[in-house]
Amino acid sequence: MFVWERNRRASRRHAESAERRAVLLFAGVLLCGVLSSCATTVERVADVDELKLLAFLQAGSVARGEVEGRLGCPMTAYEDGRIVVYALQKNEGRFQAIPENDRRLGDVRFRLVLVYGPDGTMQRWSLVDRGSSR
Amino acid sequence: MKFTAFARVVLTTLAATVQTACVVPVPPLGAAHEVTEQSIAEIKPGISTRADVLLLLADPPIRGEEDRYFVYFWERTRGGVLVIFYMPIFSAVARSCHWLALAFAPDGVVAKLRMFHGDAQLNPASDFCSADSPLKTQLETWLAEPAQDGK
Repeated sequence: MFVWERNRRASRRHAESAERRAVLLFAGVLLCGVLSSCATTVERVADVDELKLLAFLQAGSVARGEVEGRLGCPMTAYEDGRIVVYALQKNEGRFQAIPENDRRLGDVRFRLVLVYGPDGTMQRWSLVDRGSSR
Repeated sequence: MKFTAFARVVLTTLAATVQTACVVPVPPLGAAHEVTEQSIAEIKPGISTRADVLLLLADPPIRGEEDRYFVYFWERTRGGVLVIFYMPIFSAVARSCHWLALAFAPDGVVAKLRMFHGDAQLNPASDFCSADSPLKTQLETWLAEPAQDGK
């Protein structure tokens, strides 16, 4: 094998190695980017358009029976059922309640918190986003 | 020094791996489900109720007996390194655990709240935050103390 041919092969190998390193570095940077996009906060939803999707929740007028008729049984309850929490998932532009025995429950992004008065009407509510991006 | 054919193959493979592998630093990446300082500032001991806290932060991952306290926790990635050889083959990432604890008075009003920050640990177990014993001990000590100025 001529020296120049050996050099050419070595040069090509070096170029391929550099290219591979560049690809790996890019993959690493991409991985870091993907991981950093996982940084989320717990925030109350203030977006009017999102809240409109739960327009039936009229504080002071909607009864517990009507809420349960639409959303089913809550995921958790506090203070003897005065405060209840539903896990909601957004699906095709609508919020859908996730049943309490569903395995996806821990990963569900939204929580609907309802506070009922002594007469059983809903007094206060909020939608909390557990996966809000900064 | 003489090498057997097998040793030469092993050494060549090892050298090729080391040369081709890529060490990528992992920057501090933030946290998942972090409770912001802005949200914490909205909780006023002596004024805010259990309902206010739930409306703000939803259900807590840790509930004390008879809901006498709530703990919200999150993990923060502090940084580390990844070694990539076609795919990640080694990682050393430091993570720390953070707890926001809220204690309630019998009438449901927030009696006190406090943040607990755990030390950074290298490649901790996936449940290290919920089962972080140093923080749990600190929490128990804090819960036993009477509330002073909401702390």
